[in-house]
Amino acid sequence: MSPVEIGSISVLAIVFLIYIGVYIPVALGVVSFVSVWLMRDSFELSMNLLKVAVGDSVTEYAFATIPLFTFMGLLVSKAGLGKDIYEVMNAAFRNVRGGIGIATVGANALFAAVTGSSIASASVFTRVSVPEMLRYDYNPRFAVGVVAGSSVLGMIIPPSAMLIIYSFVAEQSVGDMFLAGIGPGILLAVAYMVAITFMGRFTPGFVGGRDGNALGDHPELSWLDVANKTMPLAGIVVVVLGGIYTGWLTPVEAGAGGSAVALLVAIARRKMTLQGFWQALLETGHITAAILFLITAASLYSRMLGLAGLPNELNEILVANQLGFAAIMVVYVILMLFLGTLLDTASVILIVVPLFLPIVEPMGVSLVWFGIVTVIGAEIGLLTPPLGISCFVIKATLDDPAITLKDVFLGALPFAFIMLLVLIVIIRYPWISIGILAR
Amino acid sequence: MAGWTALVDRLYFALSIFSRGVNALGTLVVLGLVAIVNFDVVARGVFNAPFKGTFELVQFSIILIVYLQLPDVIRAGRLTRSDGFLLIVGQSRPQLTRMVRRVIDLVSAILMLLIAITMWPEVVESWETNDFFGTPGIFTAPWWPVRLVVFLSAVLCCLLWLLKALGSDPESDAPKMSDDTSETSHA
Repeated sequence: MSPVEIGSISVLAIVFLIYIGVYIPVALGVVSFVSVWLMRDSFELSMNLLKVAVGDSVTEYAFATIPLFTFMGLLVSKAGLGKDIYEVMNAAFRNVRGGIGIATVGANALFAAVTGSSIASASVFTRVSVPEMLRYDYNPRFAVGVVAGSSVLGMIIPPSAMLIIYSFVAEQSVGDMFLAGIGPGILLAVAYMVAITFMGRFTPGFVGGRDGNALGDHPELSWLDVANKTMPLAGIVVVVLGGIYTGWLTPVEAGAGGSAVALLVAIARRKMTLQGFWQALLETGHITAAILFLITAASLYSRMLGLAGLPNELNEILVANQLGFAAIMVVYVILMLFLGTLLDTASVILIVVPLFLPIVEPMGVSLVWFGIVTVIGAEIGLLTPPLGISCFVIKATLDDPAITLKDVFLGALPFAFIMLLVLIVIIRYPWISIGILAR
Repeated sequence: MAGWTALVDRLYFALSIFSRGVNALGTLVVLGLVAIVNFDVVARGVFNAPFKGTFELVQFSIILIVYLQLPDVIRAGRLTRSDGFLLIVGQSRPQLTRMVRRVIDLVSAILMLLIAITMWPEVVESWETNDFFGTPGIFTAPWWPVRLVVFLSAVLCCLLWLLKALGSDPESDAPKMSDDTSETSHA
């Protein structure tokens, strides 16, 4: 067999193994190891590549962003900032049909600016927002759909674990990736809000709920309350994004600073016990170890692809068929949507980016923009069956047997569709993402 | 046969406790990382006196965090996987999925064994040559303790997976759906 054949088979083998439940880093590592061995007929070479991957891949300074932003996100969740911002948003949109839905999206967008995880968003807002919507007679499918749809904002609006992972694979600056995520994140949030308003007007059956003024029993917030509930969050956003934007802080320092501020807020609000603090640290370490081990295995995989010459081969096929850039992007997005139904976001990114990067790089497009497209494309899979992870988390957090997993998926479907439309807009107009970098 | 399984289970139990202990060490490193970077930012911003060696210490701590905590991640069944297939098939064919889980754990143990084998010469070499990292005159630290941690961690991971594969219940530590969805591991 030629190296290209072995390479292609190994990509399929990895997808298959992950699907039947092999740990993702193990699937990447073992398959890459065996295919290099077969390709070069050298066990020695495989061992050497393994040594390089394990020894060198976690020594990157920028990797510290992963534990630091994870820690910050956990502290922020513990401090109850998600619930606070939700209450403020709810007061703002109380007179609109579907208002709680819009409030959930808005609160998610702001919460996303201090946490890097769709899972954190999904579980926090399933607890605070779904019961509220059900209380006001919203359609359960709509209620869970809004939470699922808006949870993806967590991974697009910086700081975001997925943007960090992409920046490692593509060797882009973490700070640039963060800044480029702001525009698309806001666009997606606004698109959701507009869509909910339209749904409220044209498909009131799907939204449910009562007419706006029925929410009159909802307490109005004084300006003092609003300030009290928004200032801590605003402070963290200013430190993190402001620090990165002005160049005063590196992303690593912004993560550490953000963690410190989040910790002070949590302590000031008496939301932090010593045990809770230890738990957050423990959780941070686990998440860091899991992600970085995954990245280690993925670096072995991308070296294997390089040895197999698979990206070159793929390029030649695309050139031979006279596929232009637009067609390549279509293929790319479809591939991500397909993989996204089976794999989690990080794995999709780690598998497809090394394949396509050598193809798009010579075309002179911005790799930062390409990263935003990648992250959003891979994130759509969070909402689609059979393995839409946001939907699983919502179902698991919900504790309400009346709402089935199928309801969650059906509710999320319109939002997945809106995401796809927004993705197309972002592909068409790159300035939405990278405009901010041209300062 | 029963005695053998009991022995495996007892060994696994002992190693689990050990990996929890190592994990706690890694947790302290996380705390140290937050502290060092903040110290540097304040020292630089307020007193205009950056803390030399921050860069190296950050790199150092990342490796320590990953390899001190990886065994416990494996013990807790929190390494990224998508187990939708195993959960669905497991409902109708529990025997089959148990077997699959054992094979997966065994393959994973082999990968860690290979990593351990390939790291050992590095440990020896950095010990003998006194290899260091950092910039001379600013901050330097020897490589060998870090390499040794990586090596020992790989050995421990290998043993944990091996014992999981051979033990009485390969799912004993697989947590519920709610905290095992692969995304939990991403920040």
